[in-house]
Amino acid sequence: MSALRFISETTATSTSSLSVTDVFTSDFSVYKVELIRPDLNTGTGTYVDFRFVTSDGIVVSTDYGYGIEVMNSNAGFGSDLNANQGYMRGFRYSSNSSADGGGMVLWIFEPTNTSTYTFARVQAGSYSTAESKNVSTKGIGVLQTTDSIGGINFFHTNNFDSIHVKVYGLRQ
Amino acid sequence: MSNEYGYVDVSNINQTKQNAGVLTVDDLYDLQSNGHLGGSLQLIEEQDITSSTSAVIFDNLSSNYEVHFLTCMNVTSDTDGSYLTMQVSNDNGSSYRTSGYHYAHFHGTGGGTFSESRSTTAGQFFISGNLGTAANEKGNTYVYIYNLSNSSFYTSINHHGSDVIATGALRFMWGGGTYPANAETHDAFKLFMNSGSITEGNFKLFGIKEL
Repeated sequence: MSALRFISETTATSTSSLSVTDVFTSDFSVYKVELIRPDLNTGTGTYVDFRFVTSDGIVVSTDYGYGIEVMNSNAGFGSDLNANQGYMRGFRYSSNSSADGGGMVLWIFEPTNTSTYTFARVQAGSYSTAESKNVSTKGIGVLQTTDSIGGINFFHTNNFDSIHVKVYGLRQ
Repeated sequence: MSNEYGYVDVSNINQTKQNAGVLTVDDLYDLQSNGHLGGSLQLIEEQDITSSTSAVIFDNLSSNYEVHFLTCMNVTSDTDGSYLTMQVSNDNGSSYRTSGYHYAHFHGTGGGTFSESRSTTAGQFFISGNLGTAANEKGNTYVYIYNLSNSSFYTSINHHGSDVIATGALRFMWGGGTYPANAETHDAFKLFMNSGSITEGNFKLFGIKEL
């Protein structure tokens, strides 16, 4: 039996924010979250960002630090580095063409451990029809509080036409 | 072999996929073989290469998975400076797409040289560094593949690898790519060196299940 254990699958349509709650528990120290084919209503050159949700259901909107490399198939690469932010940077999404698809894999470390911060590692890839390029991102992030984290919130400045999230625990 | 996964009492196991109830050994084998049991990382196929091979092919891929996970370990080539690459197929390997790939990746060596590589007109995805033929000049990488089996979306990848390249240096590489020429189902893909042949390597393809 594999060490990757499916926990939940959540889909939503016509929303600017999706919270997946009560998925991180003391059962696992490491979680894998997949964001599959987010489809934006509108927007070019924007990001799908994420925040953590406490075990009490509160979306945490402060104390994030992150560093992310943005790799373009048709132009020079860039980086986005910030401390004391209200979110972590995730998926570089540049088009609302539904075929662009793509996906993101996040690894979340120690979300419910109240003796340490919650860390994340991000990698994502998608195509931007509007800009005729593949955009991939690779990055790291941390929530610099020791809150017990029970879930994750994805959001965008415009609506998602559809969004699809899967959560897995990594058994030791 | 039973296809009726029966109950001992009226209490159902709290699971939404097919394997609710009491299961015989045959039931377990049947469910696991069909990807309905056994954890979320499902080994689809493993290929262990020990002699010169022009391509490692994964075909007859089902549409069961939205995300695939590929590992390539200890890959060697018979040609110095060649890269491990990947092409997709929409006709189960009868032919492969040879143009229209986009990729972007970042790489660096232990000696402190960092570079970007990108293309909007590539003939394949590049997923390793420039491997060598000397002992221990091997490549190791993993690849996430999104939407391979979905005809409505472009196939995209992320990859992250660590190699000892033809100069003997350590080189990391990470990045991604998309095949945007057509939103189509890809039921096969192949891995091959852009020059020469694969001489060794272990290749495993997993599907990421929803159970």
